[in-house]
Amino acid sequence: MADRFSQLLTLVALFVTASLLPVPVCAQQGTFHQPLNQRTPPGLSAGWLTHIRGHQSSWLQPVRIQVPGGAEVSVYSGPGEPAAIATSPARVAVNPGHTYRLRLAHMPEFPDAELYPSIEILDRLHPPAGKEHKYPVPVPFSRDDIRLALAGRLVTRVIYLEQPQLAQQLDPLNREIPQTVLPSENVLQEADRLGRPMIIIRLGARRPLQIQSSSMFFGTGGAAQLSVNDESAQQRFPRISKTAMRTR
Amino acid sequence: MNVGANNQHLTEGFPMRFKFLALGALTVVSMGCAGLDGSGSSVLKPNDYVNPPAERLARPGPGVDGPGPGVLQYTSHSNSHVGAYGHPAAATQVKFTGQPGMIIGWKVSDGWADDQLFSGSRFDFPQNAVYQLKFTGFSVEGYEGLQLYPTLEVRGTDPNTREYLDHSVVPVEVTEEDLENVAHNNMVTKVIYLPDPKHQSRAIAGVETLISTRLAPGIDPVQQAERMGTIMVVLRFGNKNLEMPTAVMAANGTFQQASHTVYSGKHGQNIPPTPIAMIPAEIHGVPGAMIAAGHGGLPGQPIAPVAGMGMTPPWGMTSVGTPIGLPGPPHLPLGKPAGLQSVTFRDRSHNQISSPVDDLLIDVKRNPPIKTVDPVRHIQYEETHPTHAPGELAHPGSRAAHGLY
Repeated sequence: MADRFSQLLTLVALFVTASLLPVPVCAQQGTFHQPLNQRTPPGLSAGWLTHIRGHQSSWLQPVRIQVPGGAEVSVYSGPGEPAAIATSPARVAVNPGHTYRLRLAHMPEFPDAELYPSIEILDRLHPPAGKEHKYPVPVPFSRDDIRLALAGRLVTRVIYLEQPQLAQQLDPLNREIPQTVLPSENVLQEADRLGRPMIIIRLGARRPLQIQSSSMFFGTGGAAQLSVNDESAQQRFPRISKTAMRTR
Repeated sequence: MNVGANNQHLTEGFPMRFKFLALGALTVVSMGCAGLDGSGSSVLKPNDYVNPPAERLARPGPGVDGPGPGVLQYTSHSNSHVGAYGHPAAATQVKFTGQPGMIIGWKVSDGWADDQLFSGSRFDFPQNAVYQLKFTGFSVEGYEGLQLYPTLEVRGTDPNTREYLDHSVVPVEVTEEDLENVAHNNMVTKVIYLPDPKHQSRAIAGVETLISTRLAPGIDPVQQAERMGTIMVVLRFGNKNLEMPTAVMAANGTFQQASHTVYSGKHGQNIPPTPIAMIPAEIHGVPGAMIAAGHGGLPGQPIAPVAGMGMTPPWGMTSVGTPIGLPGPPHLPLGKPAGLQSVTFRDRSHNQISSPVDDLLIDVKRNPPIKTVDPVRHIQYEETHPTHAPGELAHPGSRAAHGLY
């Protein structure tokens, strides 16, 4: 009887010991799966985010396309003629959820260059009613970006709206050293950590010739129209809120 | 006595079994789930859902086109091209560099088209095809009259290369070293590929080129590049002359010089190249899924189950990177999930000449496995409405709202 009691006591001791041991975690806690990144096919991220956030298809988000030294900027939303042509800084309004192809030409600092970057509109701003055109999302192209693209590289930038708590003190668009991440890192996730991703810019050296890489080469058919070019509004443009992150 | 001995054995074995049970429980509890797969990082919690990578999502397939939470709906302007790599209209833009003055021509259906491009120019080559090119006009001393006839293999767009090919041009460079190798009867294979992110060490990444003459003997540059990234273009050339004068026997028994048409870009005769071979769209990766299409249909082919309603797409076919019968959208086909659980390839042939591997078994394992959201089975909806008695109703601007009663 005493022997059986000691055996039961051993069993109880084993279970108690086991329950007190630290239990390993089966899955990583506090991490999230990030299926979207800068390498997902162009247009996919915008399509998903638009569906999730339920953006109004009629909303046109003003953007300001800036090329150093100036340039002629054409905005394509599909094959054929461009939807808008303007001079840098070009102010156009585009549909969130869509991808557009730009044409940058007649750049005084790069006289023979002609580039066709794309912009993927992920999200929109929510400005006060009637002041939509005073707060365009900047789409900057730096000299380094253009040089790298002309050298055959692919430069991807993510423009995001900074969290106020993490906002930089200096004007982020004019910082000497842009934030750059390694190609192996998820630039979209990093931008999401710092704020709200707004636009993905992809800049390479491909030009449309006879046959394109896909039927969506020139865009996904969103609306585009020229915005009011209000220089005084540009002066009031707050230095806030948007910064760029680059990879590749 | 025997029975008594057995009873004694049972009475001793009972707590022993509990001991082993307790030890087993202790082992499982202390190890947790970490030992189940060896890595400890991919064991799912009950609420975890795992879909294919975003770039591999396609409709129909796991996580797409179904009801329920966590399932993304199809949007025409964004997802229409997902999974469409191998699109017949897709083209890769190639830029020829390296030798100033080099002239590029190519083979067309009825001959050759010379002087179509010059060094530094670019051309859109339709994908999934092999082209016969012609390089002339070298200005390097000793190679002025050299004519090369390389083949250019243009691979299809992969989800990994789509972003790059959409925005960048693929450089194909011919160097003096290449010419020297060819002059010494060496064949040169250049593989231009986009490295996987894990193999990119530079902050600003680009394409890489593997050259056969710089690799150790026996190493296939194509296989090497496939390990490092995704191949976009393969250029192969040696010193074979494809325009040697040949003779054919005429009807009267005499030999006549054979001829072919030669077009010249200098005279405005610009003709696109004709592929000399086509590459199957799914040449790389695991074999495609094979699911019977249903009544009267061929595997993977659309069928027309209802007269007059036209063809249906092959619903139930998974469009993801593995052929292991991933569960499809919960409502397909006909309200039931795609039920294929495994695909086994076995070679049952008994060849007499040279027998290959008798049994070929392809085991594919996703880690973690696909796990999708269960479909909605029950919706309980309950409403609670406010009630009021006569005279207890107020609205903006009413007298009751202003407390006048």
